[in-house]
Amino acid sequence: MSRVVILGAGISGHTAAAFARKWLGPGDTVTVVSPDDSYNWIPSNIWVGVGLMRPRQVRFPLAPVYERAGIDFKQAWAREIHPEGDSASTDPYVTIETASGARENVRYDFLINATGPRLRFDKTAGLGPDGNSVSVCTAEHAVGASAALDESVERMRRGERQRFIVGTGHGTCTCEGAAFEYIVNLEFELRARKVRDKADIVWVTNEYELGDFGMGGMHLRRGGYIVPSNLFTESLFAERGINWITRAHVSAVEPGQIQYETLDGAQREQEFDFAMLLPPFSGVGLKAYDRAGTDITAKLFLPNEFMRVDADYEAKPYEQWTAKDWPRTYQSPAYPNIFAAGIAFAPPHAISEQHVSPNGTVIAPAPPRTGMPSAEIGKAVAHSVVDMIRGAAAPTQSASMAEMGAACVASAGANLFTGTAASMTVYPIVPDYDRYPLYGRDMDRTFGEIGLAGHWIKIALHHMFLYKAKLRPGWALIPE
Amino acid sequence: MTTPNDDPPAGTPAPPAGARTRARPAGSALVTSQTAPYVTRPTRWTVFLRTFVPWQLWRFARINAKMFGIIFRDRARH
Ligand SMILES: Cc1cc2nc3c(=O)[nH]c(=O)nc-3n(C[C@H](O)[C@H](O)[C@H](O)COP(=O)(O)OP(=O)(O)OC[C@H]3O[C@@H](n4cnc5c(N)ncnc54)[C@H](O)[C@@H]3O)c2cc1C
Repeated sequence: MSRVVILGAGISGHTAAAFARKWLGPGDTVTVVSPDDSYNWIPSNIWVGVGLMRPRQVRFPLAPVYERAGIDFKQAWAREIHPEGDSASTDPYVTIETASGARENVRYDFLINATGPRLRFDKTAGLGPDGNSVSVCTAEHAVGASAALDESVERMRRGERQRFIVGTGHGTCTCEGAAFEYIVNLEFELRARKVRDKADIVWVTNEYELGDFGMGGMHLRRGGYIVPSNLFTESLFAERGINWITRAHVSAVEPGQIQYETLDGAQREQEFDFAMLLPPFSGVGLKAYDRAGTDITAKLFLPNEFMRVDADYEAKPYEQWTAKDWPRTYQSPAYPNIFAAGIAFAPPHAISEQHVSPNGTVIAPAPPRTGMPSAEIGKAVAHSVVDMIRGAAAPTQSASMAEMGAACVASAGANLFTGTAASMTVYPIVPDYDRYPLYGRDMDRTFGEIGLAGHWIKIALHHMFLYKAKLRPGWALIPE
Repeated sequence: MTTPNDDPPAGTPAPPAGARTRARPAGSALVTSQTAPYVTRPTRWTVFLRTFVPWQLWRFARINAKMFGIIFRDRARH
């Protein structure tokens, strides 16, 4: 009998748990530890944030789904990993803590860390729902964003002008794609509510160029040319009357005003009435201890609290970064029965070119780990774990982001007949300049276009992925 | 200034130069479509096609085919 413990019930952990349970025998146990009682289909939080969906449409309770599937569920935070056990036993375990403060040790044979990101609103003074801006990172945050939007719309209806700022709340943020979806949906919604003429909308970003999205941008075939993605993002913003500030590190969010530094070192400010700014991410701050109780957190995690896996973390200049630096199996080099999946693993380096202002401030996107690779990695890790339980000496599956493509649909306005979305595929996610010397990507498999069809696909994905996450009949046939 | 947790991932170099660097002047503040006349804009025909249902039905099929191509090539590996 083997015990598989999965930390986190997000896109990656939930996928790993579902497949591990499906593939393992009845004698083996699969346990999920997660602090929330619900699953949240995070991509649709965007629509909650503009008032088009209710939280119950993007969340569902996990306990009944896990009970039906035969997965044990512990609603708690993982706090400590003890990969060598303790003085009493060499059996490895995780210490978990419930909301009431009760602690429990959960023993494992294989551990998958899929705890996703910690939202570091604390990195920028005044950032976030407890400060002076709103967020759409969780369904609750998105409800707050929607309420703030309603208030601004009311003011516009009374004749006031309102300035909306949307983007990244720190120089090292990732997830620019999510903020991009929010700003274009917001603009669309203001038009639908017939107050667009009263709104000034500003995009503020740590990207060097628009359309970078933490992937170093991408190139696409269009009109007989191969053109960079910034052209399309600029074009969409110009068409929608959205202004932009690039190469910016937001250093403070005061009531009604952001302070920001640009790459030339200049300190600037911008007033706002409504600000939706994403936080930077770190790992969730798990601690690790050896058998003697000595802190070995640095052995398992990088300083940014993401987990070390089979990547090449050697510090080297940008020109020497290669696709081969990226992990393939997501196994911890220190403990072969520990894996990290989704956002929880530490990337070896950024994908976008890194820039530092004369003041030493890093203003460059961190690498994105979007839903599709997070789910694919979760599935591949679950497969490896199952094979190792059955006797394989090493992980059998690889899911390198440098060998994996991603399909992504970014909503640009939600309406069945007038809505649009940017549909994109990119291969590989991490550019490979050895295989594709000019652009780092396969131009036959990298494409993008804006249109209503994308919106239909986005709606279909919302329903399909929630169906799959509820583990309804045939769920495993739906791709990640 | 940034704090240790803001550190970019291991390997982040000093401001780089070289083959992959896309040189444009640093330090842009607010850009509006008026101050950026170089921005590419779609033609009226392109904008029309984006929500023209018969064309979009065709695009729906094509985009799905492309996405499934990416997904199933990946799937074939695991
Ligand atoms: C607003 C928004 C829109 C997005 N839109 C898209 C999109 O359109 N397409 C796309 O591909 N991607 C999108 N993404 C990115 C996508 O949501 C992430 O890639 C994905 O959620 C990552 O999955 P994950 O499982 O690694 O992390 P998460 O989904 O964040 O899951 C982490 C899980 O770990 C749990 N957890 C946290 N701490 C602990 C702990 N100490 N112990 C145990 N459990 C813990 C959390 O509660 C959660 O259940 C979007 C992201 C945002 C914020």
